[in-house]
Amino acid sequence: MILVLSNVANDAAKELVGMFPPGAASLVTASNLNRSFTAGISVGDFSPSEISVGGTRTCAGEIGGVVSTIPHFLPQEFYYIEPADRDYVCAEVSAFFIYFLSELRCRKVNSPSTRALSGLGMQRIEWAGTAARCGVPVQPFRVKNGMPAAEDARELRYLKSTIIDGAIVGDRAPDAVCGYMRSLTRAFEMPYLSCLFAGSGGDDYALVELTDVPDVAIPANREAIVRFLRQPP
Amino acid sequence: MPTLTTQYVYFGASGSHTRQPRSTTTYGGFLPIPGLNPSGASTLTPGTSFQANPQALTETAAGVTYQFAFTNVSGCTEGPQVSFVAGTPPPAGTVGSSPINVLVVYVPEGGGNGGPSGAVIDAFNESTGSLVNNNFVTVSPDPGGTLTSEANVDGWVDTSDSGYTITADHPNIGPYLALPTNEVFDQWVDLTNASPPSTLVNGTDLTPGKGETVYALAFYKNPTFKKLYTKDLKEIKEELREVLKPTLADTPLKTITAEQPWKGPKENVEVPGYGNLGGPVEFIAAELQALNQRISSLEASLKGASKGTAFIKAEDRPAVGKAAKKPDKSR
Repeated sequence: MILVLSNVANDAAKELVGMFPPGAASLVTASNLNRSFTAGISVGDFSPSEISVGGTRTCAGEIGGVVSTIPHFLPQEFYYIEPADRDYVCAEVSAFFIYFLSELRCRKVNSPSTRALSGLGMQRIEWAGTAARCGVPVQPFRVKNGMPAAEDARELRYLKSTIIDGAIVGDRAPDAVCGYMRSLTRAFEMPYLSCLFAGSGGDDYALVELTDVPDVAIPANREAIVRFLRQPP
Repeated sequence: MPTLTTQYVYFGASGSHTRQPRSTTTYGGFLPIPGLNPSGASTLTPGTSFQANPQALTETAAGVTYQFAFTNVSGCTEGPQVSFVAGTPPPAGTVGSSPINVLVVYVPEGGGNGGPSGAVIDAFNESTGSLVNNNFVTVSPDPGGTLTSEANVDGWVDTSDSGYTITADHPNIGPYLALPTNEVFDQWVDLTNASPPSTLVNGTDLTPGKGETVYALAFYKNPTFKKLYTKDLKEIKEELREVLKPTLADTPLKTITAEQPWKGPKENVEVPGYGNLGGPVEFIAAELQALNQRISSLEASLKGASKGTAFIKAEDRPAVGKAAKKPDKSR
């Protein structure tokens, strides 16, 4: 089974589920957890932990892949909980899912961290440091608000590039950008990264933005994710 | 200054040995080899490298010959290190603030003294360099539970009449009195054979056959907590001022409007749809509106039905969300 974590408003996540064979993938959102998700966790030996998603019973070891399209659950998604308890329930459920996803031994797009359900949840100043250290030029930015520091920002050309499982998705990017993307995906150990680069001409691109939560609204991303998860182990 | 202590000990002079309560508390539950142990301890300088010396393959004391089993070094900042080769010490580590303990373990030749065959077992904590008293194994087959009890209390499983599977508690060690149970299983170590066959040692299982005698320790380690980032945001900023000198401009941008290729934070909330250049704030602002609308519809469909509550009472909960957020003085 493939688990797709999202929110109830993300129609692209539903489309992603539909790209797998019937019954092979299930959508999990905070808004339907009360009706469609149960888990009996075996802490000592996680793999046989029993879960039920949308009426389908399985065990944790049978989950073959995870796509998390959200970094966090939001308290308002727990509309079936008394308002005064929603913050707390949201925090508890998030903690459980970070644990649950961390324990799964399958392909994840992307793996959770202590900060997020998907990806490392880094602030700009954190990923900028790592990027600079692995040789990726970083576009100058302001510490206090993250906006571009260059006064001629409007003159820059922007290029968005996404990498999934080591392959650049969509239009061909300049070789330099492809190299940067591969360095970044290795450095952060995340199969999915989407980056925005800025350049003033030629191939002198610099990193402006980095996102490690999969954007499944883009059809090419969905197709690449499905290919990645359907590969034999 | 951290101290350096070196201990030469042996394990398994006789089969049954009381673990609960442990009859010997000196030398981490092992017995000292007479005449080898230096008196006192020396001191080390924090931040320096430390590596134990190579050891002799055999030692003789009071007419008994002891065969080398392993060297364990605990207390370095890298965590415990172990070597099962006498002439090759464990890898060098860094001296921190903890005492460094070098434990060299031997096994007396001809152990058992003609007694019944069996498995002489115990639990060893690599992080502290000592035996621990916790329950740590389950023996099977053992319908009455007496073999498991004897294994945990006396560190002994008699194999005179049958072979057994001795399964080490995992991932964590078992309980005993109020001892901590956070130690995590690492491996079984056959003290007389550094490379035991898989028929004897396989993962958490130690499987001595009928009539077989084995001296083995279940190695456990204290858990290590891996921090995603070892520095706080303020430290990262200071470091990046050096790494990214031409990149950072630590002044606020006064005009944040749609005249630029970026939307400002205010526009992100008020102007729906994407169009910004990525990033969590923009991502959340655009999706939030659609999400809230969908949630409102769902909530309306409840039509006054009773809602759930958290299992933990409000007064027993830690602070979460905005209540837990500390003011960020670094901004």
